[in-house]
Amino acid sequence: MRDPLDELENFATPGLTMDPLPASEVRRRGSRMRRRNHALAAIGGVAAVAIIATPLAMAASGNRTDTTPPVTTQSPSPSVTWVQEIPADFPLADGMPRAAAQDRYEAQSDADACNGLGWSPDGPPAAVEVQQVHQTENEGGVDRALAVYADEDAASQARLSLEARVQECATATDGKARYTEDVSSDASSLFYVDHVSEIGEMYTHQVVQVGNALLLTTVYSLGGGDPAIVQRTVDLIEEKSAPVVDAMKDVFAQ
Amino acid sequence: MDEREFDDFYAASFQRITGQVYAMIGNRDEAQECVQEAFVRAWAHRRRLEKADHPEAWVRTTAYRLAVSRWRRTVRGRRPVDRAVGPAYESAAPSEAHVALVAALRQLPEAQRQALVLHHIADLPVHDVAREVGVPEGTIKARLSRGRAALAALLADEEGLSHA
Repeated sequence: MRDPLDELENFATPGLTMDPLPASEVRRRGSRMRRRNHALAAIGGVAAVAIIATPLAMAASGNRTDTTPPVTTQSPSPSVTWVQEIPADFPLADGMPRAAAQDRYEAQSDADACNGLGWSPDGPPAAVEVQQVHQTENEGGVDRALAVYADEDAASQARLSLEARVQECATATDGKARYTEDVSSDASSLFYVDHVSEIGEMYTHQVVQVGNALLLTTVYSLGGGDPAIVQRTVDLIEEKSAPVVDAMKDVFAQ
Repeated sequence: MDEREFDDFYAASFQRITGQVYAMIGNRDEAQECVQEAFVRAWAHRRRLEKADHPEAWVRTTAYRLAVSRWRRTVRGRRPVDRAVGPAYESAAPSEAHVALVAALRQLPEAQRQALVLHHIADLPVHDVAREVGVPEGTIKARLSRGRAALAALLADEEGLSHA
């Protein structure tokens, strides 16, 4: 029988025709990727500022004395009633067979690269009800929290405020050993990562809004600093939380 | 890392890393593409690369994760089979033993294959493998032990078949 160690240690790549790109082309593509990432971050920041600033500007306009007609805002229909309680059978621990419920929200504040970065149930605005489950893994852990707000506007304010803090922190900590990475965001969700040590410990966060509720998932793992591992972690979190988001749509969406 | 340092690093390690990633995923073209992409990202994130104790490990891990991610996305999207999941494309005629080894590696669980390649082909000590994979050393030792046993059995089966 052949010794597998000999086979492995003599492993070679016979006949492999290496035709790599010239180093200058690799650098050109890398520089382009870097510019694109920075441009996307800048656009995201401007968009978030605009979203937050617009209601403030509209509120401030109430004191003006010019003759311009006041901007009218679309108020929610008075008939809309937002669910204020998490149903007893809500599947918050879906896909977490060893999850344990926690009585109070355990913040990951010690992991934050910037003071006051992370989400807090105390707001502002404050959540009206929060449930949290936690599962310890051999090589990490998963926290999932569901927060219910008074209405959709309050939930949006909490999410957008967090999104703005993430973008601000990502800019402030760029290039530092501990830094926050703004991975992605859209109209109802965001992903960001707190890279907390040089050995690659990271907390990957997903925030998803449905109606007046936010789902917050945090996964502790290793492999930080590597974009491919970050993306893989994000993909896995999105996949695992999808059934919970679907359940939120049944309960909290209008 | 300035341009010259990066160019030297690229020239010195591209082929070596490609060979290692090939051993992990069993597809040479895919390995080469992923290593190429990993070097592009390395330049894009060169400030972080400068902080890394082992830039080559950073590139290798990135390339490997890219390959895994491509494979998962292909499976998840149920797209037609492409090179990422198809049989390994052999551009030259490798030896029978080489083909058997690659085939055997591909049959191992991902974690065992990765540990074997990093320890025996990339020649990393156990503690470096543990750091690169992000698990305790004991876990790597167990994966190596099980992986060697499984590889020996697979190669023995293949040898028996070829002699039958």
